[in-house]
This record gives sequence, structure tokens and C-alpha cells, in this order.
Amino acid sequence: MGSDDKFDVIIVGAGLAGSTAALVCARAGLSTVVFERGERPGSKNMFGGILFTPVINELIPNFWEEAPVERPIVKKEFSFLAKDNSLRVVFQSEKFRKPPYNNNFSALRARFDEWYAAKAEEAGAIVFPETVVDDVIWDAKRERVIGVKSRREEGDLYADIVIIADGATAMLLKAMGLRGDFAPEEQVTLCKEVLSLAPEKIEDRFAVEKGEGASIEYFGEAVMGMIGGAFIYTNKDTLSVGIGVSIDENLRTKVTPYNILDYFKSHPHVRKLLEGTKVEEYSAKIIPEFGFRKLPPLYGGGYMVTGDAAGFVNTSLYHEGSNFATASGKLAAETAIEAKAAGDFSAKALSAYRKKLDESFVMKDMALFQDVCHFIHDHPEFLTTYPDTFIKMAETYLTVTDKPKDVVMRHVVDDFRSNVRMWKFMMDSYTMARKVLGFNPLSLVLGGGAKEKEQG
Amino acid sequence: MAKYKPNYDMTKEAGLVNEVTIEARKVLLTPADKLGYEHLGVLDKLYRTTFKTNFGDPHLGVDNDICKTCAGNWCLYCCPSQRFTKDAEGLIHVDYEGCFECGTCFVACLPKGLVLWKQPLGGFGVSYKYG
Repeated sequence: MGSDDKFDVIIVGAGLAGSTAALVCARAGLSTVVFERGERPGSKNMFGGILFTPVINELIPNFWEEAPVERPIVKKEFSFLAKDNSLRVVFQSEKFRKPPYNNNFSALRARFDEWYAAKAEEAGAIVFPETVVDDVIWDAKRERVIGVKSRREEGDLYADIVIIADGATAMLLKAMGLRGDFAPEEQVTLCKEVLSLAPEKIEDRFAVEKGEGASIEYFGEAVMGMIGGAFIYTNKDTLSVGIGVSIDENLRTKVTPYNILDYFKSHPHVRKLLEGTKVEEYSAKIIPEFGFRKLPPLYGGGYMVTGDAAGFVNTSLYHEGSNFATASGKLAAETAIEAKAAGDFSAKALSAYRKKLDESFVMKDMALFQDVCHFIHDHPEFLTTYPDTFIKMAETYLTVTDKPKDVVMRHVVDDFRSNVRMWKFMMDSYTMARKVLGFNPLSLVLGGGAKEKEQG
Repeated sequence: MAKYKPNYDMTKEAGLVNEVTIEARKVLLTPADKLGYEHLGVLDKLYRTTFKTNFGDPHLGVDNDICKTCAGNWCLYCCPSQRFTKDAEGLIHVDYEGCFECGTCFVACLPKGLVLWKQPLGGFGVSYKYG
């Protein structure tokens, strides 16, 4: 790498955001370089295990025919665990079994990201693995980023635009002085085991057809009543099993993430799903949940920030991150292409990126779900007392006795009243619906107005 | 607006030797011999993940002068791969081999005794097969 080389775009990180940006830039004919610190793209990358693919499918139509995705998710389950009981909601759809499979696939990132980066390379991007980028190079007035400093001999490389896609730890933003310290209550540690299980056993155990998959999200006692959740996702011949817990919970309780994972796996209603499995791999990452209010500067002279580095995750029940990463990577690339055409790489020109984000689902969802993390910390009862109460009510309701049913029902009501204050519950549920589920319950009466909203 | 005020008073919690504490937290809802799946301790699990350690170039480091002032010792409880240990003299040790580079410790270390946290040299560190 000589210092004379200058590229149109440098992308830091070959994850979902970085490779999407690389693919779009390279296709438009921009000279594109991707720096990846892993020994190959994907080797440092992990996530829970569900890939949301509207953007990938738009860029590579029917990508699932060639991409190393695991199984389309046709069955989604949400499960509240108490110590001895569980209450679950399952949604299963015939529609999800047909292309594009609800744009929802289980995946393993070491495999998928390697393939995805190779697609960017096919389009003309150059991927440099085994290269850490420690800082950016500013121009003399420190107004514009003009390149990056990699930890290699003569590792400085110059470009008109740097797209930052270095993931949740956001070390590059820190080096640039663009982010402060993270708060433990706004970051989640996700730790996961990949467990081997024969494909037929997966299909039998999760009651899905051959080649199809299921996802189960767990709450409540799954993570010892802490703020967070657990999950089981089905891959081809493995399961992704893990937990995500807000880091302040580890600090408060002094229970370690792996203790919580062991606890979750040992629950009688979870254990049976894991019977006969062996640990293939153990991994961890952090999930940035600081949200809309604490976003870092998303663009500036010569740079744009995408994916987890920017904090683009949907922390509500959707648990989406990959579609935000791919969408932000695509929008950054489109901005880069326009900037290149205009020959203007100033912060003003790149502000088009923020505008594109604001108009897309990325920033709209970030804004809609901006209070999820704080709301749950203020109201942990939504993960403990309330579900526990409903599970207790279900237990009383379904327990067979010789008591007349009107007595049983009175017991059910008493279960509720002894644990929950009705008015507080109603008020909190209203707020919860608005902040966590993202809709106003009053709109059930007043009308949703989806058509008008979509037409703007 | 958010009302949640985390209690991060570092002087409150008496530091406990981690081996004892962590042992005490190993609660399972089914007895270990009846689990029916391969149940591994965290250190055994780490052998299932590939690490290419750049020996002689640690990417993590603590300053025990700062750690001494921290009674919380959260690094012992937050790390998913149990990289932090406390010895009998109360000194914190960090072993960078087997680190996922996840970043949890730099979020959790509020007293900033974790004075070194950088990415390992390109190609080194954790290398996932599955991810």
C-alpha cells in the first residue's frame, strides 16, 4: 500500500453494513477498499442468529439460492418463562414458507459475511483482511476525513470518503473523539452457543418441514428476571442458543453472562429442546441500545457512520439489527456515489446521508423505539411481576380440581389482584404499548390510518 | 423521561474473591447430571472457539492502582469469557488470550482501571467458524 494510492471510498469493517456499502459503491464504479481486521471477512462477526434481508434481497434478488443462509424462519415463538411454568405465543404462517420467506433467515455470520464480502469483491471492491484501522486521517484544518491509518507498515491510505462500519465497539469513533463512554444500562452483552443437532432432529423437535426453521424468543425467568432475553434459533444442523442481558444487570446482581446462559439452558422447558447437543462454538458481542437520543454524529466532512457503530438497532420485540445495518450501508453508499458525481465531500454534501436515513425506516424506527431501553429499566415489572402473574393465573385456571369453576375464577382474579395494582397496570400498559410495541392503543378506537401514513 | 438511576457506587459493595462468588452463582434449574446435553464450564467452552493469540502483544491491560479503589470488581462478573480474575492479594489480572473482543469490560469498567483496550493486530484474536 503506497501512500500515493487514493481511492474513492474506504470502508472500515466487512460486516453487513460494510459489505453492503462496498457492494453498492463498487457496482456504481467507484474504486472501493474494505478493511477487515479478521483473518477473513466474517471471522470476527457474530449476532444472535436471525438475518433480516429486505435490502440484501433488493441488491441480490433471490440471494437465498446461493447464499449460505441456514433456514427460513416460518415459525416465531415468544415465550415467557417462570421457574416451573411457561406461557407461549406461537405464530406460524404458510405465507412465510414461500419466497421471499418473509425476508427472515437464520444465519451464521462467519459463513454469511464471507459470502457477502465476496459478492462485493465480485462487483469490484478490494477487501483487505487482517488489517486493523486505528484512526482516520484528517485534513490540515481537521474539517474533513481524507483517509485512514491502518496498523500496517506504510498503512496510511487515502480516499474521498470513509464509511465507518466497524461494529458495536465503535473504536474508530472513539479514536476520532466522536463518542463518549458507553453507559452499562444502554449496552447489552449477547453471548451465544452454537450447538450441534442433526437436521431431522431439529425438524422433529421444532415441528417444522424439512429445511424450514423456527425462532423462539424467551423472557422472564429465562434470564433470571433480568432486563434482557434469551433465544433459540434453528440453523441447518446447529442451534443458536443465547442470552442478552443489559450490562448493568451483571453489575447489580454479580451474576455472569455465562451463568445466566447455563441457567436458561437448564430450564425444564428449554432443556428438552437441547437434548443430545454438543457445544460447537461459544461467542459474544455487545448490542448498542443507547438509541435515537444518543446517536453519534452520523456524518461529517468525508465520513459516514453505519450499522452497529452508529447504534442502529431496534431493541423492541423485533430484535432487528441486520436490516438497519444493511439499509444504512446502502444509504451511505448512495450518498457517496452522489458526492463523487458532484465532487463535493464536505459535511454539507454528506448530510444527504442523514436525510436519506430520516426518510427510511431506519431513523423512523429508531425514533419510534427510542425509549424502549429506558422504559424497561423504569418498569422491570413487565419482565417479572406481570408475566409471572399471568402465568400464575393460567396455572390456577388450568389446574384441575373438584372446586366449582366460579370459585376457580375467583382465585384467578385474586392471583391478579394480589400481585398487580389495576390502575398502575393499565397506565403502564398504555405507555408500554406506545414505547415498546410502537403503537397508540387509542388508535384501535380512532383508526390506524396506515394508508394515509404510507402516502405521507 | 427516564427515571432509572443506576447505583454505581463503587465503594458500597465489598469485593469478593471471584472464584467463590462465581461458584455460588452456578445455579441450574435441572441437576447437572440430568441435563441431557453437553454442559461445559466457561473455560472448557472457550476451547471450542478458535483464538489466534498474538503472544507478547496484549490488547487488554488493567492498572491495579485504580482497581484498588474499586470495590465493585465488575470486570469479574461482566466478562462472558471470564478473562478477569482476582488473586489472594486482591490484585486484578486479565488474560487476553480467549477474549471475544466484545467490549463488555470497557462498558462495565466505570473506574477506568481497564487502561488498555484495543483491537488485536489484524488476523489475531478470536476467529469464529460459525459466528
